[in-house]
Amino acid sequence: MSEVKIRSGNELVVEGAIAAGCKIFGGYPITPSSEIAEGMARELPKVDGLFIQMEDELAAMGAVIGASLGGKKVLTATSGPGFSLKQENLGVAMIAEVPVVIVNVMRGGPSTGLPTRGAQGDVMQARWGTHGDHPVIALAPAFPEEVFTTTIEAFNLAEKYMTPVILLLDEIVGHSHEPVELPKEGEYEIINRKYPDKVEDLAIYKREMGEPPLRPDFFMGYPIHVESLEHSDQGYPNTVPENVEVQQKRRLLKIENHKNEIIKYKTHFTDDAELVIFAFGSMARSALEAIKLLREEGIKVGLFQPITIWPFPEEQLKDVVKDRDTLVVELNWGQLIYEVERVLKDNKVHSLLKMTGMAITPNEIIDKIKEIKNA
Amino acid sequence: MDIIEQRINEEARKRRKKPAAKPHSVIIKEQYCKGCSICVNVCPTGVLIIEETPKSIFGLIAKIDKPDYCIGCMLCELHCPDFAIIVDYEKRKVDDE
Amino acid sequence: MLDYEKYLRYRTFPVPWCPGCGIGMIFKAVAMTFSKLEWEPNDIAVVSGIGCSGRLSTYFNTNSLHTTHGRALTFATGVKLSNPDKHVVVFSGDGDALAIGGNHFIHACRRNLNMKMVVINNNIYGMTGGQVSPTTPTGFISTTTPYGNTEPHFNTVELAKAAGATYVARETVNRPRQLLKVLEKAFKHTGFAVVEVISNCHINLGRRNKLKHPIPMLDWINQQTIPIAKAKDMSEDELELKYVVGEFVHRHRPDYFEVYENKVVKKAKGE
Repeated sequence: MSEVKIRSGNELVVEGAIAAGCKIFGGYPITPSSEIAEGMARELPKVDGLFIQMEDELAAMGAVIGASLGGKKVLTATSGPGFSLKQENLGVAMIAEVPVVIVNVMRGGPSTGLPTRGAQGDVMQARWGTHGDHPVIALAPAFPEEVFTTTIEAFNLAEKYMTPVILLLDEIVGHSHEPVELPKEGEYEIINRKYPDKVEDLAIYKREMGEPPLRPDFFMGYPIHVESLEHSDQGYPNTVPENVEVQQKRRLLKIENHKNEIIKYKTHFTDDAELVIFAFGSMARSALEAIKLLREEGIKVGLFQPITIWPFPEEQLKDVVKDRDTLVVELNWGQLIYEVERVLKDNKVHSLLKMTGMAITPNEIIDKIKEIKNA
Repeated sequence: MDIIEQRINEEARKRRKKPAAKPHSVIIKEQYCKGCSICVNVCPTGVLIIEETPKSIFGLIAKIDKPDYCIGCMLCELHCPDFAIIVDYEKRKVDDE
Repeated sequence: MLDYEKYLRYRTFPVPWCPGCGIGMIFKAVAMTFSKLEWEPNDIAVVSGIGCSGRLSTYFNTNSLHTTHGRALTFATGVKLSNPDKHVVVFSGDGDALAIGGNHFIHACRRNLNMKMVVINNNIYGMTGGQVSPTTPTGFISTTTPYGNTEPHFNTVELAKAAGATYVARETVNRPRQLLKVLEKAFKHTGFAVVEVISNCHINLGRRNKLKHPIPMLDWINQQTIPIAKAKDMSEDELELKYVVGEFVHRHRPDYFEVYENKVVKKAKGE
C-alpha cells in the first residue's frame, strides 16, 4: 500500500534532515522558511536531538558550526535577509572545512523585498556570498520527492567533502503542499563523516591535493585547533605564502576534482527536442508543464533541470544541449543565465527572466517558445 | 634602558633585606622573556633585575641577580605574561618540549 | 594548581602579545585553574573571538576554536549543545564581547548554558591599533577619539547581571591570587559564568594617555581598583571611573539541559 502523504517543501526538508541523521538545528524565524524551524523544534527532541532558536541568523550559523565540530549533523534554515547575515560565519565553515547544511528558502529581494513571494535571486550569493575564494556546493530541488532526497543528499555531501552545503528552495517549492510518496528508510544512502584511524603530528588538514580532510571532531582525544585564520596542516594560524597556496588549492580542488560525482541533474523530453529549456526549482515545474502542452501542439521542447547549481553542471549541460537553442527561465532578472551563456557560448541562448513576485507561468513560457519559433 | 627600567631596578635593590632562610630556585626561559620588567617590579625581595640584551624583542631581559633572596612567593610566575619564569623548576614535574 | 603546563600548546609558543600585556597572565591563571580542577585537556574546548584576546585559543593545548569577531559565544553555544558534559570556556575582549558581540553576550547570559566566559577588558581595540572601545574611559585619547573619548562606557558586570548570568565577578591582572579564586568559583559554578578581568594595554591605550610602560599602566589600574566591600558605601559619582573587584552575582538557575531533557524531550516522546 503506497504511503502518499500531503507535505510542503519546508516539511519535506524537516523529514529529509531527520532521515539524514541531523541532530542539532540552530535557527531564527524568517518568512518563508520558519516552518522548517518549527518542524525541527517538534521532531528533533523525539530523536534525542536538540533545537535552539538563536538571537539572530549569524548566531544560528555560529551555533551549528560549533555543534558540527562537536560531532553532530547540523542544519540551519533561513531566507534572503538571514542568508546575507550568515555569510561571514559561513566563511569559517569554508576555511575550516566543517560540514553544515544551510537552507535558503528564497524570497523576493533585495532587502526586505517580497517576504511572501517566491524568487530565485540569491543564486549568485550562494556562490559568492562569503568573501574570498571558496568552494561551494549548492543544490536546488523542484519536485516534492526531490526536496526530501536532495536534503539527504545535502547532508551526505557535507559529510563526505567536509564542507558547507547550501540547499536552495524558493517560497513556491517551500510552501506548496502536495501529495508525495517518500522512499523508505534503507532505500536511500546515508553518509557519515570519516575519521582518521590515528592522527600523525596533529596534521588534521594534511592530505592528497583535492581530497577532503580526515579530521577528528572535538573531544575525540586530540587537542585539535580549528581556525578562522588561514591555517597550517595542523590547523594553527599560518600565513606563509607557500602554505597559503597549498591550503587554498586543497579546498578549491576538493570540490573541483569531484565535480562529476557531486553534480546531479535531470532531463525531460530532451532526446527529440528542437529547443532545450534551462530551469531549476519551481521554474523547472512551470517549464515541464509548458513542455507537455507544447508537445500536444507538436512543438518539441525539452528541459535541462540542474539539481546541483554549484558547482555548475558545465559538461552535463553541453552534452545534453549540444548545438540546440536554449531558453533560460529564471525567477530573477538574470543570474544563472551568465553561466549558461558562458558554457553554451556557440549556441543561441534565449531568456525569460522575471521577478515580480508572481511565478513565471507555463503559458508565459509557451508564448516565449512560440515567439522564438516564429522569429 | 629607559629611566623607568633603571628606577624599577633601583627599587628592587632597595627591597633586598637578607637572604631567604630556605631559598627557592627560579629559572628564566630566555627564549620567552620579552623584558617587560613586571616580574622585577613585583618581586618582594629584589631577586630579579632588568638587563639589556640583543636577544629580546625590546632589547631587555629579566635576570636573576640575587638567587638566594628568593622566598618562593611565586608572584613573579603568577604575573609573568610570557611563561618565561618558573619557581622551583626541578621540584615540579615540568616538561618543555 | 602548578601543573598547568599540560594545558599549554608549546609547539605554538612563544605567545604573540606585546611585552607586559596582561593577556598572558590571564592565560596562565586559567591554565592553573584547569589544573586545580583537574579538567582533562580533551574535555575542554577553548573558544575565542577576534582581537588580541582572540589569539588565545591557538596556545591552549585543548580542543580550541578561533571564531569570527564578536561571535565566539555563538560557536561556543553550539559546541556545548553538542557535548553538554564537556567544559566550554570562551575568551573575548571588551570590543569583541561588548561591541560587535554585545547581542550574543546578553543572550548567552539570559540562556544560562553551563559555559564560562572570560572578558579580557583592556579598554581599547588593541589588535587593530588603538581605537576606542565600549569601555574606554571617558576623556581618554584613542586613534578614533583623537580629541578624547566623549562617550559613556559599559559596566560589564551590571550588563551580565541584568541579562541573567548566574555567576559574575570582576578582577584585575594586578591581583593573580584573587583572580584564581574567582576563576575557580566561576568554573565550578553550574550555569553561565562571566569573569571580567581588567587588563593593561600600555601599547595602544597607555601610550596615548601618558601610561606607555606596563608598570605605570598597571599602577593606574591599581589606583582605580576598589574592593566590592569598600565600594558598597561609595556613591555612583565616586565610583565613576573605578573598577570594583570581587564577586557580584552567585545565584542558581536550573541547568539548560536538565530543563530541555525534562520539559521538552520527555514531552516530545510522550513520556
